[in-house]
Parts: sequence; structure tokens; C-alpha cells
Amino acid sequence: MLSVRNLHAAVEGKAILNGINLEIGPGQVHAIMGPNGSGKSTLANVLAGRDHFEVTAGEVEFRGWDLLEMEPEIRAREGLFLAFQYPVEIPGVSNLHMLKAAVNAVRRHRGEEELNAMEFLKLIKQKAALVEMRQEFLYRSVNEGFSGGEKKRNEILQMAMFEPRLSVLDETDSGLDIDALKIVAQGVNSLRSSDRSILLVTHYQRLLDYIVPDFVHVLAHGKIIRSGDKDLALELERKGYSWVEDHAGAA
Amino acid sequence: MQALPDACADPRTRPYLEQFRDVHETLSGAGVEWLARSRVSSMAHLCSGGFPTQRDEDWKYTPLRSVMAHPFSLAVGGHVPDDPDRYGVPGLDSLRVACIDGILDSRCAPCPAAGLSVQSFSDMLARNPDQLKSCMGKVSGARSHGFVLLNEALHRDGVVIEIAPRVRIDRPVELLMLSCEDSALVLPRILIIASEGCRVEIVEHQVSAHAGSGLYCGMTEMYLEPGAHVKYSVIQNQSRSAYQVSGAWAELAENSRLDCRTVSVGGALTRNDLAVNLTGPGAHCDMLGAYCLSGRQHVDNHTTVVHGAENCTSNELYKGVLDDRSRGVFHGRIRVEEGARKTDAQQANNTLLLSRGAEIDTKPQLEIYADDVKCSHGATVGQLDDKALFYLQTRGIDPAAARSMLISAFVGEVLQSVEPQPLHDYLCALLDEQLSDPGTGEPGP
Amino acid sequence: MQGTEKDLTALVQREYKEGFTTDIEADTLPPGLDEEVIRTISGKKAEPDFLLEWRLMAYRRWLEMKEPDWAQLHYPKIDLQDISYYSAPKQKKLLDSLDEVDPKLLETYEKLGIPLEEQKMLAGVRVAVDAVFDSVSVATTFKKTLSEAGVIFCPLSEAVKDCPELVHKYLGSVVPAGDNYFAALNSAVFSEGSFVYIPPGVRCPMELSTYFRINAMNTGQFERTLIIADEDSHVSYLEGCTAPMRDENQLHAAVVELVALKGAEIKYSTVQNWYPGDENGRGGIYNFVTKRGACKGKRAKISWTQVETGSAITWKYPSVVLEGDDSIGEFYSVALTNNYQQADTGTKMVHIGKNARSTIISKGISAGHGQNSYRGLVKVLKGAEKARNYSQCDSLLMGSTCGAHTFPYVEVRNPTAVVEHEATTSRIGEDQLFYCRQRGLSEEEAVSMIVNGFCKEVFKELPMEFAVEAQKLLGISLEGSVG
Repeated sequence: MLSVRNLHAAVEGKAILNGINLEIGPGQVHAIMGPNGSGKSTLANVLAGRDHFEVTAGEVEFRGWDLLEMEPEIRAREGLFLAFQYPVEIPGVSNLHMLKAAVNAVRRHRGEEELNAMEFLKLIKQKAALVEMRQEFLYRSVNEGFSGGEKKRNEILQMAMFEPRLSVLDETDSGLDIDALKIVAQGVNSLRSSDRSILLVTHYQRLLDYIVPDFVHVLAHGKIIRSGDKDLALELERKGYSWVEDHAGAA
Repeated sequence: MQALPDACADPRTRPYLEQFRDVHETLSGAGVEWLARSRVSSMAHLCSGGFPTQRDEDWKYTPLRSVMAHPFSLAVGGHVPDDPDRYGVPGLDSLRVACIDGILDSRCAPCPAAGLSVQSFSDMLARNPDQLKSCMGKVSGARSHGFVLLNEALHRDGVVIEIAPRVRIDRPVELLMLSCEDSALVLPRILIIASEGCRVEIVEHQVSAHAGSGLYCGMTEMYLEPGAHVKYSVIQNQSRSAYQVSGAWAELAENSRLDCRTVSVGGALTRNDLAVNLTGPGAHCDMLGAYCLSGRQHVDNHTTVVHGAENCTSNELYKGVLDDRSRGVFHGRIRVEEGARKTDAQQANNTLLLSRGAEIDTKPQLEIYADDVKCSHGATVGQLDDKALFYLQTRGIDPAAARSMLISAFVGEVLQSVEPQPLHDYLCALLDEQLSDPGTGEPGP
Repeated sequence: MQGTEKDLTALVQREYKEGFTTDIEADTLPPGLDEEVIRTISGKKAEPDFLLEWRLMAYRRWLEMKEPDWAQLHYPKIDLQDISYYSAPKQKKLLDSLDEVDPKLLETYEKLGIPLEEQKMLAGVRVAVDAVFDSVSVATTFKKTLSEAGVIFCPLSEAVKDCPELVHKYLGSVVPAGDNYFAALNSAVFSEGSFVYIPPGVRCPMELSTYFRINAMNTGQFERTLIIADEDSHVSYLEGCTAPMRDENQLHAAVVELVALKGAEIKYSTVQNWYPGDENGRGGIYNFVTKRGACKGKRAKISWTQVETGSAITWKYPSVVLEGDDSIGEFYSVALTNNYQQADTGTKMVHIGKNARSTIISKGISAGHGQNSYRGLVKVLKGAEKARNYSQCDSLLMGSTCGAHTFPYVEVRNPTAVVEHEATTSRIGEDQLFYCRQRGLSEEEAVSMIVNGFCKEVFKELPMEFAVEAQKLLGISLEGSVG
């Protein structure tokens, strides 16, 4: 699904990622954990194609394509979805309108028939129920005036609408209370299937209680310093990041 | 040297031209050629350009008829009260400097703080005129009008405050600007040079020792060097018959910070020009103002902030309460120059009208020539919230107390950040007094 | 970043499709302005004496006036002696039916998407059109249907002949002859315009529309529109305008007067698409327009909606004088300035009656080297009890070489007034664009969507067919029917 090889990236000349290697197979759920400033969010943004980040070396293959060569919207249409850490507010543009335009852009790209208004409404209502989002939210401007939890749920709703091949969830758990976290996790889990992969970027182990990963990687100073299964996350929780950093330093 | 004109295009300037002829050779720094030249040129400009009128966009809402009704004579001096200290902010542990009718009181002891220099403007002109040359009128030059020119031509004294690099002055400096002579023209100059990384709080406290009239045209210039932090509060509590047209100009270098506050309760007619130039990246300016007016008082706050560099921020909030037949004017201009990226400029003017006959004219303006900016302004005019008044009454508070509680809360936002408690209490007391005693002004018909 | 900025600007660039000229023989006065020219214009239209006198009075007032310079606009001085004040396509004297209109003119309007043949329009929405070509009206449609309802919709020159008493009573009653420099000039030399009268209690059965076209070279266009809505009547009026692409600047100085009597409602919508000049700022229309409505009676309502995308210079402040108690004034505006366009536009809401309400929503979009200013006045007079005003002025900047300015004036003389003004400035954020692109939208689609969202509150005030036109003009697509 996704193959990241020796990825280096910088922001305004400052190196953030220093050689990331990561293989994500179909159906797998990977978690990337790491302390603040380790480069987690940078990785998520680089995968989605944000201009601000400059890739200085390495390559990324996504479903056989050279991901780094693709425009952000093409990545999205090819099935890469980023749930933003800070979802953006777009005044005056309703959620419904944005989603319809986006879903149909993806459908056109795939050579599928566009959804008409009725079909679209039916679909979105069904997905909204999944994340327990009230319908009135659909008619409000994208993320405008939403609480932190509402924004995150909105991201998961969009994810459900797009049915992406690879979902990158950038600190989706941050700022969520336990109920909201459960709803979000439930939404994500309902999308798990043998041909869909998920990359969770998170600071805390908490999310992984609800979305159980197949692999856990620890990121520090722009490099994956340790990989393991879900038990690694539990160990981290107990011993803290300094343990693994020291450990990596010693090795 | 430029000759003095014989004729005045604006007849209102003639009495001042005559005074100038009489005294200009005796004014401070008379022997300094560049200064003498500048005084004559200012006077000539005043005669040809005249005082502003309501046809000037910047003076649209401020009629000067009463100010210009009869000419004021330059303060002669000598009206020195025995104990100027009793006019100071009560209980404030400050380094107090008194200017009596614009002349620095010689009894004022040299400041006991290290790194702080407070000198008389005229002494400085006598001893070291060239040091002043580079900073006099530099920031004020661009936007001068008749009253600025009047000061430039005829100023006699004032204060020069210098704070040495990286010095932190712990006690506030209180400039007590005391008006003692009835019907006098007072033209003080204040110059503040805040060196790199210093910190200082200055309180300019204008107060009258008499109930008479007078025209006060003060000019304050501030230079903030990189990293300097200056708090500057102006308290306007002059006689209810006094007129004032003053200006303050500040230039802020990188990462410097100016917190300005203007509280107006006194005076018959007050016009304040405040212009801040953010010339270095990362500079920040707070401009706060409160005006509480009654009788037929008139206050015009005319503010400009120019964002000339990247990453500068400014925050402006003026709040007013207008009772009786008082009149408020607010003009706020934010200008963001091309290239001033990451500017964040906010501005608001909120006014409560308490009675029939009170008037407000407000003119917030944005002029933006850069795209990566966050700018907003807002203006509201309204009354006290009936629902809130009722709510307080249902809790047993009598209507008058409820009213004053809500008004204090409204204006209080501007005073929130005042730190020395005695200063905060004094300002609150001034506003309260103004509100609870509206009859002190000239009664409306 | 640089790349994004350039792309953004390119996205609002569009070709000016209406820039063609019609090759038609015209009867044009030589350039220059004096009393003789005014007498000639009046004579050509066989006007009654009162009108000629009024014109001459306006001219004399104008001679004493100075061109206003307070707007945030920079342009070389207009040489008013270099302009022709009358130009009319040559045609047979009196037209009884559309068959007699020069086919070239019909073709012109067809090309502009304004068919003048009623049967062609019946298929779509029913809008009655008065087509003004340079200084004269060439056709007015649906006259019969309208006259059955008692509605008068005709060229102003015709109204002068057919209902002089109405014209005499109301012309100049809202915008007096000497109101301002450009209004005085218009009063002296106006050549054409539309006249509308809606009788008491009548709801105008269709939208009324005037389509202005400047064609001739070196002429100014000075039309004058007068709309009177008698008690408890209702009318919705649309105005459109285009001009050929020329290297020279052309002056358009129009006056629009609206009179709403007790309980009447006038909705006036404009899509202003005069030639804006080329990408280097050469050519384009100088648009100096005075528009004002008076809510004369109780519960009268006047609503201005404008989408200003054209003209090199726009100077325009559609205003409402709220004389009647409980009257309502509204102003909704989208102004786009691109390349070297400059717009100084806004409104005046003058509260005189009791309980009057006004709303101002202004959206300015600046791109390229465009300069966009909102200038507005909210004035609450002493006797205007319980006046309510809400104003919101938002600016969207696209690129670092344009400017957005806001100059509101608020004057309150009554303590029962509640006035609120808000203004914000934003740009299309890189994060907003990226967010949309991450959801699969192209940059163009994303920009359209964001600009559309920005203007939404104004577009929803436009009649449907105009909203479509307006969005096309801004180069953006209509928001889907969902939602």
C-alpha cells in the first residue's frame, strides 16, 4: 500500500525528518508514536503533500505510484486521506456542499458516476449516524464554530464518506473526551477492512486501546528508532519516551 | 532665515503671530540657529495654513469655535503652588516630576533611580541642543496641523526622559502636568527615549489647580529602541473649562512594546492625536482609551497606527460613556504597509449613550496593502442592557447602583491591566466620580 | 508561496467577453459641453420646458462645483470637454414594434445574452427588459403585459411625454440636481434611462430589467433611472451593463432615484460589468454613479444589491434615506477589483423615522494591483427613535500587491439607537486551500468555493438568474442545489 524509503524533509531549511523507512501493507493498522517535536505531524503532512514541507531526500510509493510527484488533490482522489490535527475553518461553505463537491471529484477521478443530490444526501445521512453527528452540522460552514470534538468527528465523517485506501490520522485523539474518543474510534474501526490501511499518528497510548494497531513505531528526532507490536505502546506508556530514546542511543 | 509673514490667511492665527513677535527672541534655545529657524518656519506655516476647520476631514466632528473664541496668552510662569505633590496620584509610590504650566518645577529633585535621566527640555536645549535636533519633530513632522505648529513655534519647556539600555525602572515616573495660571496657553514638550531593552512605566497626569479656562497643547514624542517596553498612561483631569489639543507620537523599533492608555474625564474640549509607527519587526502596541463625559464636554480621540514591518501586532480599544449633552469622537486608523507580513491589528470603539443630547461620531478605518494579515475593527453604539439592569434589580440592587455597576464594568475593561493598585484605584475613582456627579458641567438647556 | 499567489491571481483573471463593438451608424454630437449642448439634447428629445430649465439649473450649479477628491481613487483628471454627450444609433423615427429595430442592435443584445424578442424569453424566466444603447432606449419588452397590471415601464424620455406630472413631481426629489458634482453633471446632460411606476397595491408581475450598453467611442453615458413604488406596491428591478474594450477611458455618470411610498418595497439589483481595462490598467470605464432611495412612508423598504466586477474606477454609494417610521434599508455588495481596477464603494443609511432598521453587508475582493475601499455612513438623527443598524464589511485579499480599505462613518444623535459595525480582513489561507485539495478538489475549485462562501450572504439576495450571472462573472461555480 505505502512504502516510505529514507524520507528526509525540512521546514524553512530546518531538517525535521531524517530518513524515515516505513512499509504499510493492505489491511494493516500502524501507529506512529513519539514525543512532541519528533516529526510525527510532519510525516503526516508530507504524505498528504503540504507545500510548506520540503522533501529533501527519499521516496514514497503509494499503490505503485510515486506519491511525491502527485498533487495533493490527486493523492486524495487516489485514496489517501488525512484527518487533520487542526481541521481548517472555511466560512460560508457548508459542510454538505464541500463534501458533495469533494466526493464527486473523487468519483469522477475514478470514472464513476457522480452522485446526484438525493443519493448524496442518503449516503451522508447514513455516514453521519456512524459518528453520531447531528444533521444540523452538515448545513453549517466547514468546521466554523465547531468544538474540538465536533471538528474531529467531522474529519472521521469525511473519512467515512471517501472510503480511503490509506487513512492518516494526525493526532485525532488530541482534545477529545473519552466519549468522543470512543465514537471516533468506532467510526475508524468500522472502516477497517482487508484492503484499507490506517496510519495513526499519536502522542498517547490511549487511542490504541480503542483502535488496536498491528504495528507500533516510535519516532524521535525525525527517525523511527524502534518498531514493535501493540505491546511496545504499553511499554512506552509505562516507561516514557526517554526510555526508548536512551535505549536507542545506547544501541 | 525665513521672514515672519505680515498677513495671516487665517485671522485666528494673528494674536499668536503677535505673541511670537514679542517673545521669540526670549524663548528657550534662542541662540540655536536651527531651532530659531524651525520656530519661525512653524509660525509662518501656521499663519498661511491656519488652524483646522470642520471642513478638514480630520476635524469634521470637532468644532473649534469655542477654543478660538478668544486668544490665549502664553503662560507667564510664577504661579507656583506651595505643594504640588498634593495633586499627585494618591498613594502612588512614584518618581514624581512636576511641570507647572508647562515649565519644569526647579524644586523637583533629580531622580534617584539609576539609569533614569529626567531633565528640563529648555536646559537640554541650552546645554546640548544638537542631541535634541535629531529627535525633535521627527515623528510628528508628517501629520502636523495648526496646534502642532503652535507648539513647535512657541514651546518653552518640558521634560526629556531617557532610560539607559537594559535598565528596569521599578517605580512609575509620574509627570504631574499642573495648570495653575488661569486662561494661559501652555505648550509643554515631552521627549522619551527608551533605550534598548529597558522597561519603564510613565504616567502623564494632567490636572488643574484652578477652575478657569486655558489652552493646553502638549506634544509628546517617544522613541522605543529594540526590545524596550514602555507603559504610558495619560490621565486627563483638567478643569471643566479647559481646552486641550495634544499629540503623542511614538516610533517603535523591533520587538519593542508600547502600552498606551488615555483616560479622559476633565476638560471642556479635548482633542488627542495618538500616532504609533511600528517600524521594526515584532513590535507591539496596545492603545487603550476610556472617556467618561457629562455636561457639554467634548472628547475627540484621533489615533493612527502604521504597521511598517513584519510580525507586528497592535490592539486598540476605546470605550466611552456619554451623558447629558456630551459628545464623543473616535477616529481610528490602521494602515498596513506593503510587505508588513503577519500583521495582526485589532481595533474597537464601543460607546454607551446615556442621555438624549449625547452624541457619538466614530470612524474606524482600515487601510491594507499586504495580504498576509489579520485585521479587524468594530464599532458599537448602544445603551445599558435593560435585561442586565433588571436582573441586578431582582437581586436587590437599587437601579442607580445597578446602572453604575454596569457602566463601571463597561469602561473597566480598559483599566483591567493597570498594575500599580493606587493608580488603578485612582482611575476607577475618577470615572465613578464623573458618573455619579454629572451636574458639575455646564448644564444643558 | 509565490507560486500560490500567482495562481490565485490567475484564477480571477478572465476574458472580457462583452468587449466587442457594434458597427452601426450613429447620430453623435461633437465633444464638448455648454448650454447649447444641453439645449440640443433637450431639443432632440422634444422635452417640455420645465425639464430644459431643470437641466440648465443643474448645469449652472455644476459649473460652481469641484470634482470630489476624498475617495481612495487615483486617476488622471477627466477632460469633460473631450466627451460627446449624446450618441444615438440612427433609426427610423418611431418604432411600433421590434421588427423595426435595426437587426444589428438585436444581434448585439442577443450576443450579450439579452434576447429582446418576447417569444424567445418566454421559454425561460419572464423578465421585462428596457435596452439602452448609448444615449437611447432601443426596445422595451412586455409593455403590454405590464400595462395590464397598471405598471408603467418605459424609457425616461417617453415618460416625460406620457406622464409628465409623475416625472415633474419625483425627478430630482431624491437626488437633487445639485447633489454632487457627478449628479449635477448627469442632471444637466442625461440622455436616457428607465422609468418605472407601480400603482398602489400592485405587485409587479415580473422582474424589470434595464440593460445598458456603451458602444460609441468618446461618448459618456449619462442615464437616469427613476422608480416610483406607490403605496403597498412591490417591484424587483435588475440592472446590467457592458461596454466594448477600448484603450481610452470612458465616463459613465448615472443617477438612480428610488421612491418607496407607504408600505412599498423596491428591490434593486445590479450586476456591473463595464469594461474594466486590460491587465496593465489601460482603458476601462470610469463609473461615477449616484444611487439613492427614499423610504418616504411607513414600512417602506428599499434593498440594494450590487455585484461590481467591472469598470476601471468605481465611485458609487447606493443609499437609503429612511424617512418613514418602521422603514427598512438594505445594502448588499460584492466588489471585485483585479489588475489595476479601483473601487470606492459603499452606502449611506440615514435614519430619520422611528424604528427604522438598516443592514449593510459588504464583501470586497482584491487581486492583482486592485484597490478596493468600502466607504459608508450610518447616520442616526435626533428624532430617529430606536434606530437599528448592523454593518459588516469583509475584505478578501489575493496576493500581496493589492489593497483593501474600510472607511465607515457612524454618527449617532439619539440615545435609543443600537449600531454595530464589524470589519475583517482575510486572505485565502494556504491551509484552507490545502485542506480542500486534501479532500480531492483542484486548486481552482477550492478557490471558487472559498470565494463563493465569502460572498454567499450577498449572492443569496440576488434574483436567481442574476445570481448565476454574478457567479459566472466572478469565475466561480454555483453552489450545488444540496444544502
